[in-house]
This record gives sequence, C-alpha cells and structure tokens, in this order.
Amino acid sequence: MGYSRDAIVSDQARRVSRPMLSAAGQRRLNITLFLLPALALLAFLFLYPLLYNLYVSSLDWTLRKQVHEFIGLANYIDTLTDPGFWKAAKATVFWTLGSVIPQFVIGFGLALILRENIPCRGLFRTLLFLPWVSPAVVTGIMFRWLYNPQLGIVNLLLIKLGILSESVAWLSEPRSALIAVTITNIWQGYAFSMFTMLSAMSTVPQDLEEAAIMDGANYLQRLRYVIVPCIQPVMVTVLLLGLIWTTNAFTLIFVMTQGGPIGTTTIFPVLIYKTAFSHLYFGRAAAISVITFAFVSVLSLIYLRILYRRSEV
Amino acid sequence: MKNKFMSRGLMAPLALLVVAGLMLTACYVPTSVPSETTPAAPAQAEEEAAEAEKVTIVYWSQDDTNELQEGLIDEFNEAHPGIEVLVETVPYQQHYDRVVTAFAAGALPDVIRVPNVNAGKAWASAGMLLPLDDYLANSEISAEDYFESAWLPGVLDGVVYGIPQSIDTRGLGYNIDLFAEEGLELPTNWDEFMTVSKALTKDTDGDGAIDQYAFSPECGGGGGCLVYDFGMFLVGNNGYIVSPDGKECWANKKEAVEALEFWVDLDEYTLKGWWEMSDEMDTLFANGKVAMMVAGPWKMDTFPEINPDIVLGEKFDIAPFPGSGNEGAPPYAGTMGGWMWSIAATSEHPDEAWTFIEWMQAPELIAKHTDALPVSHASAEEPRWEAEQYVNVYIPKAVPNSRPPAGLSPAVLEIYDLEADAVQAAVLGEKTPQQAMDDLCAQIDPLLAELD
Repeated sequence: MGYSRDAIVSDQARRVSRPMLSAAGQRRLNITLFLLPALALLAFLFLYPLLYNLYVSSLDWTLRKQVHEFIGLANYIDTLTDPGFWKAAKATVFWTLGSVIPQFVIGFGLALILRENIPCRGLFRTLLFLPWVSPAVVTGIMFRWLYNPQLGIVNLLLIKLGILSESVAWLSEPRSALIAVTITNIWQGYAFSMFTMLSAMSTVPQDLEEAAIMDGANYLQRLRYVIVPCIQPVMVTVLLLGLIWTTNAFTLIFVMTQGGPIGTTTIFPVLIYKTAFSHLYFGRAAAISVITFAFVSVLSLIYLRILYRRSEV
Repeated sequence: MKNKFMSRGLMAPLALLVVAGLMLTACYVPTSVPSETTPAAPAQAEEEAAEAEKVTIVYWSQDDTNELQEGLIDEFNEAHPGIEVLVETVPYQQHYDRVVTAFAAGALPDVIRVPNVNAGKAWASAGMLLPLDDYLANSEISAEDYFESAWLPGVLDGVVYGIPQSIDTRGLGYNIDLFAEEGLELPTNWDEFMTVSKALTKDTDGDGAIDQYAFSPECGGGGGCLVYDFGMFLVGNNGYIVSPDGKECWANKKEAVEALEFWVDLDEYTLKGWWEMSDEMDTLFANGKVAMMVAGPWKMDTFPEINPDIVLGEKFDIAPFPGSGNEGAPPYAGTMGGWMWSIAATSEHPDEAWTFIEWMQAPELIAKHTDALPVSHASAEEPRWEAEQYVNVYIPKAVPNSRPPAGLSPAVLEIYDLEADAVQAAVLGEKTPQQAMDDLCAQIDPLLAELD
C-alpha cells in the first residue's frame, strides 16, 4: 500500500538527512494542501458572509442614512428589548418543535410500514414522497386554497362531519394561523424523515433481527433493541437537519401569511426579512440573524451533547 | 483506491479550475458593459470595434410592463446608434428586493423603475438615486406638464430624483347582475354602502352558510396591500395617517378613527378570510361570489381572463369609490401609487440614461408604456384612452380625489406594516379603533421625529 511505502521511504530519508517533517507531519501537510482549495472555497462562501454579517450588525446601517456609524452592541440591545423579537422567538420555537417532532414521528411510522412487504409498496413510496419534491411556493399556494373559507376542502369536510357549524378563516385568525402553517410544514417535510430512515432501516442486518426473533423478542422489543440502535446515527441526523431547516424556513410562511395576522406567524427568518427589506434596518436585521445563528447552533450543540453523552454510557 | 478516470496529476489543476470557476461566479455582479466581456471570434473583430463605442445602459424594471415597454426600447435603440438599452425584469416583490440588495452590494444598474410612493423617497434619501435637477434645467420636461400626484413622490427636499412613468388609483368594481337582482343603486356614501352591503351578503344555496359577500378588498393583508384598501375609506373621510407636511401622526384623529370604525363594522359583510388571500378574491368576484371590490385599472383585464362571461360594461363595471358623506369629506376616494424612472447614483453613463428617460416622455409614448394611468396632462388626451371606457371613471373622478394611503416619507413601508397590524387588531377585536390608532401614533411619531 502506498502509505506504508511512503513511510518507509521517509523513514530512510530521516535517518540520512533529518528532514524537517516527520512522516506523520508530511502526511498531514499533504492532506492540508489537498484540502486547501475546498477550505478556501468554504471560507469565501461561508466564513466571509458570516463575518461580514457580524460586522454589519455593529453598524447603524439603515437605508435612510448614508453614513453607517459603528454603534457596538446597540443593535443587539434594541433587538433583545423589543417585544416583537420575543414574540417571534416564541413563534419560532412553536413552529420548529411543532414541525420537527411530528415530521419525525410520522416519518418513522411510515418508514416502518413501508419496510414491511405491503401491497403496492412502490406506489405508496412514490406518492408519499411527493410532498418533499413539491416546491414550498406551490405547497403554500395549494394549502392556501385548501384552507380557503369559501372554496377550501378543509372547511367543507369539517362542516360535513359536523365538527364546525360555519367555515373558519384559518390563516386570518391569530389563534389558528401558526398551527395551520405548521401543519402545512409537517406535510411538506415528513417525507424526508421517512425516506432517510427507510433507507437506514434497509441496512439493519437481517441476521440480527432473525436472532432476536429466535430469542423470542416481540415486534416492539425488536424495534427497541435492534432497529433503533442500528439506525440511531441517521435518526440524529434527521432531527438535526430538521431543526436547522425548519428554524431557517422562510418561503412557506411568506407565501401563506407573510408573517401575519398581527405578527403571529412571524418567525425569525420572516422578522429578518421584514426588518431588512420593509423597514430597511440592515444593521438590526444582521443582528437578528446573528442571534438566530447562535440560537440554532446552541440548540444543535445541546442536542448533540445530550445524545453523545447518552451513547457513551 | 485510484480513480479510474482521473490520474492524480490531473486532479489538482482540475480542482483548482473548479474552485476558481465557482469563486468567479460567486463574485459575479451584473455590469453595465456586457459587450466587453463576451468573447468574440476573429471574424467579428471589426464589428466589435464599432460596437466598442456603444454605451450600454442597463434598465431594471418589473415584469408587468415588459410587453408595453419592449417595443419602445427597440425603437429607442434604433434611433440612438451610440446607446443600447438592455432591459432586465423580475416580478414586483423581487424587483424591490433586488434593487435594495444591489445597492448594498454596490451593483445597481443605470436606470431603475422605482415604485414612487412606496420607495421613491426612501431610495432617494439613501443616496441611491441621482438628483436630476441639472438635467431638468436643460430639458423641455417640466413639473407643470404632469399630474401633481405623479410628480411629487419623486421630489425630496426640493430636489427631483424621479420622472413619472405610470400612476394608479382604485375605484369600485361591482357586479351589475347582483345589484340588479336586489334592485339596488350604487352607493354614494357610507350609509348607503352599509345598506347595500347588508342586502348583498347572503346564503344563496340555503345550506346555512354565507356564500355571497358584499365587499372585498383588492388583495390580502400582507405587503402593504391592506393599507391601500383601508385607505379607500380613510381618504373618503378626509383622514390621514401622517399629516400632509409629513411631521405628525394624524391616525388617531377623528376622521381616521371613524374610517377604521366603518371598516370594522363592514367586516361582517366583507369576504371571509380575505386577509389571507392574495388574488383569490379576483376569482370569487369574477364568479359572482363577491358583489363589490376595490379595483384598479389593471383588473379590467384580470376578471374576464378568469371568467370570459364577465364582460366589462355588461356583467361588471367600475364606479368611482364613494366618500363617506360626512362633513368635509370628498365626493370620491382613491389611494394612489405608481412608478417613476430614476438614474442610479452610481451609474457610469448618467447622460445616456437621461437621454433614454427623456425620450420616453413624449405624450404618445407615455400613453403606450403606462400599465395603469397616464402621468401627464397631454398624455391623458391620447387616443388610447378614448377606447378605454373605464378611464372616464379613473382620470376625471378618482385621480383628483386620490392620495398616497400613508403619505410620502422615507419611512412609508415601515408605516404600512405598523398600520396594517393596527387595522387588523381592531378588526379582530383586540383593540377598539381608537386604541388601535392611538397605539399606532405612539409608534409612528418617534419614526417621524427621527426623519426630521
């Protein structure tokens, strides 16, 4: 193998001329050199905007002013003392947890069903995958029609079933709007959880399951002691991605409610958009995005921490 | 494991190439001289040399007017061998965001079609737009030739930043048959408006649920739209959100509060769920589920496109929107917006950009490129309008009684957001109209003070 031969060569070389780098050092240098283009690209596309955003968040940058003074943390203080921000924080938490957990549960349940040898499995797989491939704008407009108080099927069904006596404008009512958009998001996103976990389940070694059956394990026990431990890394990834995507989601809410009524569906990305593009406070918007970034990072870290500590035990 | 298709020696330069390519595309900003960057075959070299003299003007617009303007831009390019105007269009909301983002990135085009009421002053005060006074001093264009309401949004502190392109106002679209069935006359004041609204809101199929509503705003609650719809009542009662001099919040004065009270009372007869819609009400109106609707000139084509049976003048028509009938109120009401042409402050070819804008001001051209109503007195006399029967409602009756819904100031978009929430809070019963407007003024006054 190449590496061991390299090691021998450099070992001989070291004895002869005492080179500056050890074999391991040389290897690390090689790796670094090869990674450099990709790292440069990442730094340019990711780190630079991030740092620039951090810089903008310290400026009094509103579109109405031509000079952008440095104001330190004032944008952060203004943001954190604004009740609108905390309202958005609550909405963001509801929207995120309300979307990610049901998406995960539904996805997991459907993956278990599709794993079995049910009739028309391929057809179901395709149909169930459709929400994930339909663009958020299309989903948003479609659900706006479904929820429509005059022509929407949701109201029609609920009235026919006797649950409602008259139609409800789901997206116009502050009490129901956030729930209605969250349900839409669950519909849009469960398929990703489902498919990722379904493919992970297909990698569970069959002999393990068979052995469990031989040992007299029932379905739930097999689930708990065989399937879940095998696909746990994938489950972690699904939840983490869901958390990040959902917190940063913008399109669906913007298409359906534009953050209303009276701000009840304004989650962080909508708040950032409005602050930057309607109110033209770029500095403040940058500060809110830094806070959102910190929020997602901290949540992700806590989650990973808990998880890895548990898996170490 | 070694890649079958690629030796290691090839990998590194290729990777670098990909990286460089990606970086270049990431850095790409539209420039106003694309002809210099296009590679030319040797045979084209001569042609290229001639082309090099040509100045390219990039013009950003909203896609609605594309068809109207494209032919004229071709005409302009033919008449001006030294200038080529390149038009780039995107939908309205993206147009706005694109311009603001490009400004922050230092990548504005040469000519911008600016939403005059919604962005004119904000963009001018940000330093995005070039003052046009020097050009105007040597031009035949003068403020008197234009409707005042079209000209004023382009002026900030006495300096002109934009030349009007198009104005719009709104009227009352109504379903002729639904009015005839009930034997109703068009309302001329708020009392009559409420009376006809009661008669026109009903359950037509007897299932216990209302399926025909008397009234609908023109579009939903987001994006400033509500402000233009509520403004029909605000203006109709001589109310203001911001005082005409732009210094004080007048939203909690009697006239504005009365307008909000009426809007709240009317909610019972207003299309349920209109707030969450964007253009679904067009479909409902075109199918006879809504009897009256706030409607601008652009709706005249929209309704028949949805339902070919609904023909202007036979099945639906347009009337001037009635004022409140209260003392001091105007006979009709309208909320006004529109577009103007501006040159970006960063343009490298402002003279050529001005040549283009100035050329477009011929009355017969204005009548061609406006997508709503003409901006100048002379252009209102053009033959196009004789054929458009609805213009008789908008130009003589609606335009003189129209104004921007929340005044003209650099903070107008923020005011729209605050006002929309205040109006909605009153409709939802979370606040009384007076409370909602008092709270609104408590938010607007500091904003205005900051601008002063």
